[in-house]
Amino acid sequence: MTIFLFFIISIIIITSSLLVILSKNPIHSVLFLILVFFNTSILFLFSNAEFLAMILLIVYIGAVAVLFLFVVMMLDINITKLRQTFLNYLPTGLFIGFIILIELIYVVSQSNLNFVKTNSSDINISNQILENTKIIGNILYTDYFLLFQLSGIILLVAMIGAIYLTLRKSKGTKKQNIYKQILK
Amino acid sequence: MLLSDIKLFSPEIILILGAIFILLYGIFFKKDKNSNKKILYISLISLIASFYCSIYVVDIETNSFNNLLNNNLYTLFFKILVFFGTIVIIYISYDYLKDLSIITPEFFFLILLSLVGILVLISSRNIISMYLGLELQSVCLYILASYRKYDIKSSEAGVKYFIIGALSSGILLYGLSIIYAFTNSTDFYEISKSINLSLQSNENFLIINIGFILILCGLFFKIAVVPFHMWAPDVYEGSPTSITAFFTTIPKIGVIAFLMKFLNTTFESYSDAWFQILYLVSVISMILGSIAAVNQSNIKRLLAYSSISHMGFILIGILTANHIGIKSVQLYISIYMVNVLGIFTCILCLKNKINGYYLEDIKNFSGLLKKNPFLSFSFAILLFSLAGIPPLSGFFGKLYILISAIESKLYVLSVIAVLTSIISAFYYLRIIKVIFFDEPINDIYINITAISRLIIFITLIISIFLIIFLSDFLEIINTTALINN
Repeated sequence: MTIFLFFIISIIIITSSLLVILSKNPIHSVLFLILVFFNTSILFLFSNAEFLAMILLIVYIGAVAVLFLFVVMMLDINITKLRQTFLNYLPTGLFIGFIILIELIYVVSQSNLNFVKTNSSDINISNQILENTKIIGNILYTDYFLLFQLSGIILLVAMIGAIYLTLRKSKGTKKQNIYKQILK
Repeated sequence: MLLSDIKLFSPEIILILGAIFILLYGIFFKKDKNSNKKILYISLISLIASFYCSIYVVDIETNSFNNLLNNNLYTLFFKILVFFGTIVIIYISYDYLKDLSIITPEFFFLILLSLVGILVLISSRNIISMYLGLELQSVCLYILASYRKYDIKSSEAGVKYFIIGALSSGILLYGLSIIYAFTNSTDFYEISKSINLSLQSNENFLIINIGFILILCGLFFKIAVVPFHMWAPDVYEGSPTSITAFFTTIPKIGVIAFLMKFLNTTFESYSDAWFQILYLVSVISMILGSIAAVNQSNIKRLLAYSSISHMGFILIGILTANHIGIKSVQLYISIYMVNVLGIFTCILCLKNKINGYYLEDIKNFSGLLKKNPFLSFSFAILLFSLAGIPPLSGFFGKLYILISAIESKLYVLSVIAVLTSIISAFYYLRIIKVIFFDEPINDIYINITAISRLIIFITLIISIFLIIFLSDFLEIINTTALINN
């Protein structure tokens, strides 16, 4: 049953990722991209990686794909022009894709690189008592607490910086009047 | 996480709380005309409190947060240096940015948090904490570079710095991921053990080498040595001058401190590999830094190229990898910081009388001698010191670097170092010639506050009289130069 579902989902992923690059309307492309992400997260769920699955849903669909959608809608791209340039770039794209394919085949066939194996008894994945969200949480809030907080501070700095650099006082700027808004 | 961890992290915690408090204060007291002055004092208080904590509260020779950070005398030395530098920068920036009327609470917030990043970077002993410290520092610097957001050059500098910085962080991270994949640990000492094992069994040598070179490339981008220097002159020219002063000193001290620790602990067994890389990079950055600066007319560009050649000089001390090399790097970088901060404070005092712009073109410095002898003589002394004229402090920095090179029998390298420092003496002397002997082109307005006078005075005293207390200073460095514990 699982293997059957796996094949169905894989086929959906492959066809919809082809449609991402082949569909004429860029909005359809983004919607197919969302479908790819959604099905990939289901694949992650199959392999017991529920944390990655949820992160994929939240980050890639909730934030990145929606951002793409906004950008595509705002930019108003001329599709027919893009079609013409597509053929120009096709040989280069195929060439790069071919190189990557050769490299992947080479790496898989010649994989005598000695990766150090993680000791699975360390993390206790084998017995399914702890889900990996719990395991990550346990490590993140105890051993790597400092790193967690530092990443938070980096995000704070990025946010403040983005606001500082883009908030400009000029004539056309639209501002919100808080008092007016509350009175409504 | 234990209470002792919080105690050992208290300097950074004070800075973070101070930064957040500044942000909130700026929002709630927006209408207060004097709020920026008060914010200046708040940031100075948090800096001094954090400085006090890092000396008296933090225990030496300790690891905190599950071995993510490591405090010893070596890190303390660099932290003290960085604290002094930041206090000076905050003072001179306050006057400068107020004059340009672009001062906002965000400036102090960003400076304090980038300092947190540098402190974490200096004391890190794990590749993840090191990366996060470096990234926190860089993200703050990207924003600071484009701090004059209505000025097109500043925006350009910010974008350039951001793209190059993001690229170099990517390269660094790629190297770190390769190292992690083949050693299965993120701790510096554990990595060192794994590397020794793999060296003995003679496997994975090539792939670890590639990872190591990628890490070095990422770090070289951050300290702007040739061939990773292309961004530096543009970014230094475009950024607001006081922030250029920050760029040329404080983040470089952090990265140099980290680089030295990293090479001498984690990659100790790879010393043959990094000796060659550092040798080449040091030679070409000394040569290019000194030759390219000859033709510069903008003082900020000139100081950018001069900082490239100084970094090349520092790399000599690192690549000798002996005890005296490390000590000489500590001496050199502290002298360099003092001199550069003094010069930037002098530059920030000079304005054009007619249009009120700050002077950046060297030609316009002419006639300063008649206007203000104190400023012109301090300019001359600080530039002489950077060039390495004997009784001044810069000479001793160069001297100890050369001694360490000669003790390691690197005669060719020391000859190149001496020759390039002669070339660089030419362009420092050119500025002095313009100040002292050229006919005045335009009217200079001198805007010197009591505090910048004090800063210049202190840097002058350090430059002139270092010869007297050099032995005491070397004694301090001697106790802090031990990396391996």
